[in-house]
Amino acid sequence: MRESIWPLLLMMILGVTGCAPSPPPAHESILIYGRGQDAVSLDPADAEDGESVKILTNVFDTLVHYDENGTEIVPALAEKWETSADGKTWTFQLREGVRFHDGTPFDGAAVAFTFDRLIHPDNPHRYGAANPYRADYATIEKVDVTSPQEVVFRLKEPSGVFLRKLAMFPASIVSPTSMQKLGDRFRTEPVGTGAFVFVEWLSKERLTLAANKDYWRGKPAIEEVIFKPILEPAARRRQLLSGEIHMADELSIPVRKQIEKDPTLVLETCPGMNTAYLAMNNDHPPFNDVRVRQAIAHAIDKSAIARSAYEDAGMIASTLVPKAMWGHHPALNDYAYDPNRSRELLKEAGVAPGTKVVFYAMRNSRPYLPSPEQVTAIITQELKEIGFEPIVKSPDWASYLDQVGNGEHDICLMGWQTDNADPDNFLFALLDKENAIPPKAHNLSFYRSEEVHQLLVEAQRKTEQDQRLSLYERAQTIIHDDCPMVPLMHLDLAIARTKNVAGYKLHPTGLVMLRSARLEPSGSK
Amino acid sequence: MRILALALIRFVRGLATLVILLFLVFFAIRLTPGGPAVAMLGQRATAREIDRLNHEMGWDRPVMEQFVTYLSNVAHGDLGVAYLSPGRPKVLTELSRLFPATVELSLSAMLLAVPIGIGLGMVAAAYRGRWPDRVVMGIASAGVSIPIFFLGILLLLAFPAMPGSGRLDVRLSMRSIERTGLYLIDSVIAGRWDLWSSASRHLILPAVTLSTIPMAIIARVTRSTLLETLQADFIRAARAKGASWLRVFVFHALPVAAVPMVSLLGLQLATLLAGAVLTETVFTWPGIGRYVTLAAMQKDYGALQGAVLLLGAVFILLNAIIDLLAFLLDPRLRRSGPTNLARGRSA
Repeated sequence: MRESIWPLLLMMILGVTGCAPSPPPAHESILIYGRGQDAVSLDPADAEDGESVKILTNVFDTLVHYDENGTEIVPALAEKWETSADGKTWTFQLREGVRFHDGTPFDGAAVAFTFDRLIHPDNPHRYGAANPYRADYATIEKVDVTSPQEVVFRLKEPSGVFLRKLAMFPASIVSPTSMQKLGDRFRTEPVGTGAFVFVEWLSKERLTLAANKDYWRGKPAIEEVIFKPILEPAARRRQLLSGEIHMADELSIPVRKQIEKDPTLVLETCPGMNTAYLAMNNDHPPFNDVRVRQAIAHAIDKSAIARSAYEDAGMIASTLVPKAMWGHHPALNDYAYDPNRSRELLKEAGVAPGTKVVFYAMRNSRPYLPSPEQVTAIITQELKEIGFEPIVKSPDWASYLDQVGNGEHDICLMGWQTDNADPDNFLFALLDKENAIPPKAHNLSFYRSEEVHQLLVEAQRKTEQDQRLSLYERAQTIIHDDCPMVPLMHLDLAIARTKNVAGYKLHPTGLVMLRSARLEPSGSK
Repeated sequence: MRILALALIRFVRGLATLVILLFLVFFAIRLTPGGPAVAMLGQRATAREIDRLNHEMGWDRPVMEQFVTYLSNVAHGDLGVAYLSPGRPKVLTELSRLFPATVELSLSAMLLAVPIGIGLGMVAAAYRGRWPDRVVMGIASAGVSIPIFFLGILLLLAFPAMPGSGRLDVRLSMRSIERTGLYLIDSVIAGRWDLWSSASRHLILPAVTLSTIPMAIIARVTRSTLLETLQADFIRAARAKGASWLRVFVFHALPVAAVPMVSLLGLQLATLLAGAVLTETVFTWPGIGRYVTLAAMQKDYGALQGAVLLLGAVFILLNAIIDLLAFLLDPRLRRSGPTNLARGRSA
């Protein structure tokens, strides 16, 4: 029996490795961050997915940034700035003595290089970047370098959103030297001025960043951070427990509940700047009738959705702008759950019982909608109760976006997570008539109110926040009465960590900034 | 000469099978909605940009034309580029980076499955019809019928302290000592026992999971072949000669029963190499199986075609080797001639 050596060997392997203690604590300056997916592109002008943004936030800086606890704009690479009287010229004084990770000094030329790449489709240094956010910066006419430490942005028209757009990741300042040297390889080997230096990226296995010892805000508390993609939320929880990772995000609601109960883990939450909503296609009868849209709003029991689909890990939405953000209209009188009122309204509008409704509902969970199948079931039932006959369609996510963007739905579930914490990013993006053009519409209600359009455009051009606020509140009141969509929920942000991770604070924008995170010696383990 | 003829036939047939396989994959992936251009440009892309990229990449050409171009590229050793992987690496580079992971996992699973499976089969045959036989066959039935992903999840729950993804602790790297790509071997060559320990800890659960099906199959086949052999005349003769039962079992019956096992083992290994998709997905094992799944989900044409080509080639090649081995080992097959055999088993 020659084979008998193998079981023996196996026993040895099991014996040696199975009983070996957990990895030694020698690595305790390396933080491992578990997340759902891998990054896609690390060129700020090419990226658009959240996983890539997590890397960009740590490798790059922007001219201005959000403050630590909220969304106030504070200086970053720009130390101060001023606006001309007409709001069209912005002059920025740049921070001195900052260097890119490749040693290139940060100066006005780097700023101009970055924005030229971003706004000109024919820029020679684009290197195939998809530039999905170009429209957000289209208002920039040009960028002049007036001295090494001073740049002047000239805008086509005054803009109240401009400064916030400078805080967004596409406006991350890239190293011109490395960009020209690396070309399209820059998107896998990014070079910025940020708190962490890019080290290596093994696709779908790990992405490693090292602390930038010369960082102008002070060097990070950890020496390295490794981002590790782990598809399933339950698997991320398991790896937190087994010590394979220190932090995990994108947690499903059941996993959040399990982590909350676990004494060895910590779940941190904060109100999220996102909104899930039900869009009603104003182009499709009977939804061109405001009474029918209001009937749907009265038919949906949001508190049932909050309880069952969100397990109370979110807030009921009464308007599109999240409660956690400035610009939220606090005094709107939300449509109460009242199926009888719905039936009356439908009768008035002459909608026959049994009218078919094409209801698009995604199957995959989204950052604003953790369990779409439950929400779909609730809404389907409620539509039936007021006499509609919903036909649910759930194609795969790419086709879903294609089809609703093309206006093929009567009603559909959708949501939005803000890019820049500005109400414009919700109201203009999702309800302005300029965004209601198929086949790539974002305004899935195909709501084309001229009045709202005027208010939103005016608000874009004002630079005083108070004036903008009152414009946005007026717009939200009109939208509330026209009822082009039913805002459903704002999902809380959440992140899980092991007990020994300290110093990290969840930011309300969802940006992951790891500079302040540190690992403390973990007592008995 | 006969063996050369046989090898030639197998080679030609293998090539034809590969082309057909590629053809099917090539068309199937293009029939699904969406496409690489949409995935590459993202949600904010306009229809015009998508059309332009499709045109640039030639994805708007007739599918047959694309297929012929692809085949000719493959013939020149160019498997194309994985458009949706960061940095757009060559598919060939990606595959040679990932294949060792699959090989290591499959070989480890076989190292578990073969001795245990044969051992169990022997026990069952020796105690035919009595309780050890029933227990073993019960285990074997469970082994083939339990879904792999379910078993994987059960094991992860049962051993919460064992690592659940990857080949190595992410803080460690094999880069400086990598030779074969098989971590257990490379770390031994370099004498890096810390790496060896981490690699083997990561390997155990996936290897055990992957080994269950071949283990169960091997146990069943061993049992039935042994039982058949034990009833043969030469066994009775040996017993009559006065040899002890144990001696007859181990020295007479086993070697004879071993011949058909060779082809079974080879076939199982081929299946593992080509089909560790579920195990690799459950354990986030960075091998070819997981790569195929991700490529199919992302509609990364080049990556998917390249990976399927590799898996198909490995499967067909191993099959051919097994047939040739069996031909060499078994005098009965040699007498019946190559044509029979060539018709025998198809991939």
